[in-house]
Amino acid sequence: MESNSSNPIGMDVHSNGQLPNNCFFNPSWENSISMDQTDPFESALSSIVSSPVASTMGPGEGDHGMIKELIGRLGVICNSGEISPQSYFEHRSSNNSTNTSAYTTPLNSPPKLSLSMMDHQIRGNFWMPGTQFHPHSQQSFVPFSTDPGFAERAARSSCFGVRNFAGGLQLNGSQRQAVTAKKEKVLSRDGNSGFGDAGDSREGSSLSEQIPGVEMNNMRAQNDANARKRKSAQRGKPKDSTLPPKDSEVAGENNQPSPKKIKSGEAAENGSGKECDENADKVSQGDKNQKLGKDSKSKQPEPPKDYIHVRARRGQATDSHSLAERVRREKISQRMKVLQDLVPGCNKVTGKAVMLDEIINYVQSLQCQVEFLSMKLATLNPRMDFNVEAFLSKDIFQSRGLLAHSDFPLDSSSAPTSHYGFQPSHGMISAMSEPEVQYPENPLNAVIHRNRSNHLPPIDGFPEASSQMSAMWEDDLQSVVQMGIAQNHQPLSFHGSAEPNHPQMKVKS
Amino acid sequence: MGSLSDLNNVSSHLKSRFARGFLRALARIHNLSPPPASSSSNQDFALRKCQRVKLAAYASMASAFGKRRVWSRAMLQRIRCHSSSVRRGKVRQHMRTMRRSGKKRKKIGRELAAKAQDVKKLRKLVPGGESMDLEGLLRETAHYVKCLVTQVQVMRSIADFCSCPP
Repeated sequence: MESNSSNPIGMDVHSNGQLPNNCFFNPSWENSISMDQTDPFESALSSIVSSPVASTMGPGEGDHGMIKELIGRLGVICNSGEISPQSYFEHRSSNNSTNTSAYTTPLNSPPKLSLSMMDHQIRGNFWMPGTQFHPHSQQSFVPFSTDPGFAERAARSSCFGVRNFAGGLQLNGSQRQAVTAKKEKVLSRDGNSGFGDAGDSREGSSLSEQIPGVEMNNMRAQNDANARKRKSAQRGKPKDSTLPPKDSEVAGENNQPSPKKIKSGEAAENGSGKECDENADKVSQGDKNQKLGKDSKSKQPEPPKDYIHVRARRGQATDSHSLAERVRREKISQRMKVLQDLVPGCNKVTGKAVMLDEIINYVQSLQCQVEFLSMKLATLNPRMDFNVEAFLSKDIFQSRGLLAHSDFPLDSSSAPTSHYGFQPSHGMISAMSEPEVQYPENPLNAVIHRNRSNHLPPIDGFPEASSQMSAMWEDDLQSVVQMGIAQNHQPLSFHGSAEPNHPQMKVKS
Repeated sequence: MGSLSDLNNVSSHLKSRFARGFLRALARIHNLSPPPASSSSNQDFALRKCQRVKLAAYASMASAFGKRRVWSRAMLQRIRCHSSSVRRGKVRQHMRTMRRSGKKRKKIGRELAAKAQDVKKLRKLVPGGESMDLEGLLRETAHYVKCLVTQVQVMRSIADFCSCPP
């Protein structure tokens, strides 16, 4: 009984039409539940329910009897005498035995529902059972869910009510235990009970209080979940369109949590149609829930999994915080991909930290290049009388092909080479204007060597490098200026010195 | 990716626009008559000329986008503030003014908490990046990188053209 795996049926409790993903959902739900809730639930509930039910419980055997017993026990647990196993059972009896077992579990399952993480999932599951029960069993929960009184009672009795209702804190622990023990039952049961109780929230809370508080820990989370459920219930009400009247309540309530569940990857209990609505409303609901459940412990640490666009994965927190975070992270990853394409050499790099470093280095190098080129143009630009349009059409067209992909690799090398080309040109220019030809070359060479050595700093030292380069340029400028810069001269040697730059640039591109 | 295609479309227009503005600015700068000969003033003049050229480059690039981009707006603002001040600026001073602009804001994603330092650096680098959330910052960075690349290409082509006339 306690073993979560012992309830395969429960997992199957999904509405035929409304839970297309039942199959998918069940195993994970079971696992998730087991992951979270095994111990407290098992221990507490096992004592209560295990013995009779376990023995008699079977996927298709004597479910009725078991159900009765379970219901009776649930009544004990829930302090709700209104729960009439018989009536409850009657609804189910017409259906498969498996369903009955599932039915019983809902009574026990409310605690499970109160589970922070499971709430959403279970709700989705439960809800579906409520509306349409286990497809295999052909047992429709509809009869069950159509029982208004039952729903109310279930709501009251079960911790499910706790979830929905702010007051029902204590119930969570015990409910959880019960739920774990009878997961499948809880699924089927809780979905209906909880949802039908939109209006009964208050009552349910009172009832839940009666139930001895097994665990107070989750209550807060439960409260948040309940608050959320309540809100969602309010919101879900308009969503009842597709659901039968009885189920609408349930569905309404379920819808609210279902967005979360949907996000958690569960099939929307409401069906695909509702899923869309819920997903659309997810954000709005998430906002509301966010206010309610800010401190909810239901929020689990962000799973480090791949980013699912809107739907959260099973096992992941489904509250608004994590969802918004997930969406945000997806956007950021998209932008990082774009940047990765822009920055050369980042394709092999993975991870945001390294990528950010690369991007920062690239931006810094580009800015330094702009500075350097501006310096070069300021001192070098001799002829402005060319036709601007012709220049644009020709030069830019050429430069696109030449320099399209060569910026970054050229970064460390272009500066020295350009610098090298820069200096001799200045030297030549000055040489042309000055009688002394030898003089400018020597300091220029020295400057070139100095610049070369200084110009290959580590990449992360760019700010210092830029200042260094500017200082170097200042020195160079001083030396050059002293020799007299002739701005309009085009010495022959200028070509010779400048040309090496072009082949280098072209090769690198 | 949509943003990437946008960036690609940008470059074709950007180059021509930037080149035109930049060349015009360059012509203006070069037409400025040098001060009377004296070594120190020559140096200052040359320095200031470089600064002006650089500012002209950034200004023309930013004006090519006008108000459409956060970084271009921030850069234009910065340039206006900078130009209003004395033109003594060294490169470092220019950077300082850049840092002063913008207000720190916003959270850094939890998953990027470890790289907060990098993000801060990026914010300083990209103009106007101080007051943006991470996603916007990354978007602006991508655009800014594209424009910087274009700017470098144009300037280099101009320099080559001037240095090595056909």
